[in-house]
Formats: sequence, C-alpha cells, structure tokens
Amino acid sequence: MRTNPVTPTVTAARPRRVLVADLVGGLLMVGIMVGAYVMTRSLSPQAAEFPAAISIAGAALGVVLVIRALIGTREAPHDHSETEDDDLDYVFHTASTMQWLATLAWFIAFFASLYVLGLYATSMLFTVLYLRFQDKRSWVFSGIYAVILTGVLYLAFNVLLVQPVPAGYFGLA
Amino acid sequence: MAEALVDALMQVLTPMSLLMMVIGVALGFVVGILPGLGGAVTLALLLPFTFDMDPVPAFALLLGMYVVAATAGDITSVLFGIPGEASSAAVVLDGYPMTRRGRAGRALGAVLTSSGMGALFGALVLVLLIPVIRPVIMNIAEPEFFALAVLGLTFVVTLSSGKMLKGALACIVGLLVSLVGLDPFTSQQRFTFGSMDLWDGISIVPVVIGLFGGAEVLQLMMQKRSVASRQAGTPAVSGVGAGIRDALKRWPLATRSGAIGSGLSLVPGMGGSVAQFVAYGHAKSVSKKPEEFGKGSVEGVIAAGATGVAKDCGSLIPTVAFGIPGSASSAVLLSAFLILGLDPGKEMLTTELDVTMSFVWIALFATVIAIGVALALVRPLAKLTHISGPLLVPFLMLLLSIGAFAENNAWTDVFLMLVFVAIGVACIRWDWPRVPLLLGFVLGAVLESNLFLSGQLFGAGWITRPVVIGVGVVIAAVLVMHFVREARTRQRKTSVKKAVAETAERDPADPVLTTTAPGESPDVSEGDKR
Repeated sequence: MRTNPVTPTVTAARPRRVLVADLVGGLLMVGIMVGAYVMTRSLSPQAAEFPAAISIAGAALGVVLVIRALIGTREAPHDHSETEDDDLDYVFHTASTMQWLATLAWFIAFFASLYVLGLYATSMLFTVLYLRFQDKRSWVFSGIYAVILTGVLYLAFNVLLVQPVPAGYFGLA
Repeated sequence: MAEALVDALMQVLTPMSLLMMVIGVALGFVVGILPGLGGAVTLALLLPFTFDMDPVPAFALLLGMYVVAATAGDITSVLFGIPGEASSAAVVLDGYPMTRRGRAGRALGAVLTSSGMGALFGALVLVLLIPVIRPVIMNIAEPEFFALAVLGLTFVVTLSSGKMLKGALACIVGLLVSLVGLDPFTSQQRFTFGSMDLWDGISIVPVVIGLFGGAEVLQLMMQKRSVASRQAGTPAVSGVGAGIRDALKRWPLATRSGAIGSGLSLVPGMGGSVAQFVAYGHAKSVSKKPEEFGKGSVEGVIAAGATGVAKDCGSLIPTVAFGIPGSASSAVLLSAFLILGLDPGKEMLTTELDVTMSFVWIALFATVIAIGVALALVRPLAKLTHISGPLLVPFLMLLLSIGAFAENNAWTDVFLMLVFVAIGVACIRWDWPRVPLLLGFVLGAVLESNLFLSGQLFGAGWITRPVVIGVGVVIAAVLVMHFVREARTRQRKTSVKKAVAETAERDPADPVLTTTAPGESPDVSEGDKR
C-alpha cells in the first residue's frame, strides 16, 4: 500500500481525449489482419480456412480497438516520469530521442558487425568500444574485459560444447 | 512395483550411475543457463556417449542433464529476463521484476524450491500413472487436444492484465505467426513471403528471446545502471530463506502447478511452453492479489517454477508407455531407448520396470543436487544483478545472438529475433501485453491441426465427446470467474474515486491522502502532478 497526494480533480469533469497510440495500434492491426486475409485468398480452401478465420476475427477486434480509441477516455494518461513505488516502468516511456538514437546505433552496430565479422571478432570489438565510449572505462580495462569475455565464450562454445556460433560474412567465427 | 522401485534405487546408487548423473547435472546447468541451447540439442549431442553404457547410467547422464536444464533455465530468467530455456519464459514475467526491485535472492529461493516441489510431484505422478496410464491416454484424441489448446488460450483473458482487447489481438498475431511455413496438410506456403528459410516455420527460441530478453537488454543500454534497483534499498542477496519459505507456505499452488505441468505434458504436442503459461494463468486467476502479477508476484514465480521439472516427468510417461514422445526432447530420449536396446511400451512396464522406475530416482536426485548447488550459488548469482549495466551489455548481447542462432544454426533466427525485439519494445512502449502473443504462437499449430483432424475423423460430433464437454465447462468457469473478479475490481475503484471526489468537494483547498493498492491506477492523483 502506498499513499498518494490527491487534489480535487474529478475524472468526470475532464474532457474526453482520443487515445492516439491505441488508434494507430488498432489501424495497424486492421492493416495486418486484412493483409493476412488477402494472402490467404491465394491458398487452397483447406490451407486458407484457419488463417482466414483468425484474420477476420483479428480485423474485427482491430476495428473495435479503433472505435474505442476514437471514443477516447476521461482518465488522465499514466505519467511514466513519476516512479511512485514501482520503478519497473520501462525507460522506453521516458527516454529522449538522443537516448534512443544512441542505443539503437550501438544495437545496430553490434548486429552489423556480427553479420560481417562473426561472433568472436565482434565480441572483442564491441566490448572494447562499448565500455570505452559508453561506460567511460579505460582502454586497458576494456581490453582485458573483452579478452576474458571472448575467451570464456570460445571455451564454452568451441571447446566444451562444440556448438556452431554465428560466423561472419567472411566465415571468421 | 515397490520391488522395482527399490531395485531401481540400488541401480541409481552405483558409482557409475552417480558419476554420470553428476556429469549430466553439470552439463544441464550450462545448457540451462545459456539461452538457445535447448535440452533437445544437447541430448542429441550426448547420445553417442551412451552407446556402450548400461541403461541406468546412460539415462542418469541424459535425464540428469535434461531435468536440470529446466531448473537452471529459470536462473537467467530471474536474473536478466532472458529465459535460458523456452520453457522458462513464464518465470521472466514475475522473477525479473522481483530482481529489478532488488529481490533476486528471494525470487531465486522461491523458483528453485518450487521447482523441487514440482519435481517431487512429477516423480510421484510418474510412479502412480505409469501402470494405469494406457487406458487414459487411449481416450485422448484430436478433439481433446483441441479443447485443451482452447483452454490454454482462455488464459489470455487472465494474462492480459486489464487489457483484454489488446491481449486478444496480440494472441491473434501470435496465432498468425505460428502459421508461417508450409501448411502441414497441403504443403502450401503460408506467410513465407517467398523465403525458403521460413518453410519450416518460426521456432520458439527467437520469439521468446526477442520478445523478452531483447527488450531487457535495450532497457539496460538506455538506463546505464545495474539490473537490480539501487533505490529498492534491499540487498539482492537477502531473502533466499524468505523465498524458500514462500514456496513451502504456498505448497498447494506449487502442487497444482506441478499437476498442470505433468498433466498437460502427458498430451503429446502440448509441451512445456504451454503448461507454464496455463499454470501461471491459473495462479493469477485464483490469487488474492492478481494485480501484483507481472510486477513481481512471488506466486507467479512459484507457479511458473513448479512446472519446470514436473512437465519433464509428465512428458516421459507417453514416451515410456507408448513410444509417443510428448516433446522434442522426449523424441531424442526415445531414440536413446532404441540405441540402448529398450522397447518403449509393454516391456518398459513389465520386464524393464526397474529401468522405468530409475527415471523417477534420477529426476529426483538430479533436481535435488541441482537445487542444492544453485542455492549455494545464489549469493554470487544474485550479486551479478548489481554489476553495472554497461558491463553486462556486451555479455548479454552475445548471449542474445548465440541463443537465437544456436537452435538451427541459422542467421534467419537471428533476424527473426531482432524483429521480435522490436515487437517486444513496441509492446512495452505502448502498453500491449506480450504474453498472449507468445501463448498464441505456442498454441497456433496445435489448434489448427487438431481442429482439422477432429472434423475429418469425428465429423461434427467431436464436440459432444465427454472430455471435450468437461474441458468446455472448465473454460466457462475460468471466464466467469475472471469477469466476476474484473467487475468487483471496477466497482471497488469506482467507490474509491467517488470517495475521493466527495472529500475534495468538502475541502477543495487541501490535498487529501488516499490509499491505493499496488497496481491500481493512480490517475486520481495525476491532476495534481500536472
């Protein structure tokens, strides 16, 4: 249980507001479901029966979501910047554009490197650069950490488990 | 029967069997903790080592590894939100929020203990059911499979946390994703977009890792702090005892979840991924605090954990009794039977009953050893969650990619995992539940094939079969219970709002204090914040 300071704001007094995110989500769902239904038209009746049925049901529910979003709500939006007692709110609600761009750049760089250089080279390169520039660690610390991490991965997957790992474009891993 | 049990115990306690079991437990730990390295793959890799072994030591190695992988998979689910095994995905839902609140120790204590209780229950089921299971299984056909799958889908309503419409839509998206690939009856391509890589469909591992693990890693990259909350103030390593007590105190829940795990895994094709969500949904629907589910409810952790080993024991029953594997892993175990010269079926229940009973002891001992080791390691394991987030990011990124890649050794799975990372993040960002999507994905193929075969084999009359009607009654009961509970919650919230409004009208100048239970909408207070 927690205590919240409350002012005399009465929910009923607020004007209705359209739920834009739900409206977009609902339209997207209707689009996906209609697209899925159209794709089933080229299948034989037997193969199309089940996917067609669920895509029609999905389109109908999507329309309901769109209507609900348009009718809107009088409730105030949840303020994700207030952590209250639960800090489980994801940072995705509050992150700035710069945070998003930086994170996505690192994320994409990792997988691009994995695709080109393979697992072990990416492990070394990404670990050193990420720790050096994102965590402001020293070059020495980042290097030692990268060597240990890559060594452990190599031991686990190549020596102990003999398990294939993602090889890069040049077949490096 | 008792004689066979004692004989089996003697065979399991030989030095060779114990040594094999310890090796199996150690391997199971590694396999369970590393995402994507499924039990089935490792079982297949171990098969050649059993060629010259006697049956009991061979199964001590194979089963020891298999059951421990399920328990160990829960550890990464709790600590990092990345399920070590696909069948550990439900543990993420409450185990990881507990960790983020600084209660990793308690979550681990609860999940490991409930896993042990589930193993005990599963072993008991194995002992009791093996002699009598044949007529029961013979009465289960496609209509019953379909009804059970619909029962699994019913839990979407309880797993959607007040967002039922979005939950239903997410579930339908999951159903559509499960249909990607060649149609099983006509071999026509469905939703493959011309890609041959999608002909075999989408495997569960990239879906689970992307939806749950990927989003958590992005979260760590953005917030740049440790997994566990510093603000929570509670040291992560405390509370192991409390977690164990939580599980012991809630033994009826652990037992029921173990029963759901064993029971559903008896049905070939249903698999552990379904059982864990059904058990989780059941726990939420009977809980006195359903609003805490998804935010760190220990009941959610116990329910999901208890299905782990119990489902493995359950899936052994049709494998042993009929030679029908209940899952991919039990299909590999079935080949071990043949390699070792054992014939699943009548022989395993008569002349080889001692070998069958040795499975019970192996499952029990391996789980006890694994839980003992894991509990001893809880302190260092839980400390991992207080390591700086950026230090963990490279390690977790590598685990994500290896996890997605490892099952089929295919880049397609890595790309699919990235797609599901995007979907998982979008779900969190715009408040769509992720679990119904996963549940729809898991159940889609089961639903379609059994619906089609029911119609083909039994005509329209399949709907009047007694078990189908029985499951239908259970479905109706679950739905009624849920809607009654929702109505009560709405009524309670409305009366709280009314009371607040009345207080405000009486004295509009002063802010008032009101109490809200965790999980209730705080919207009445937000006018003030703005």
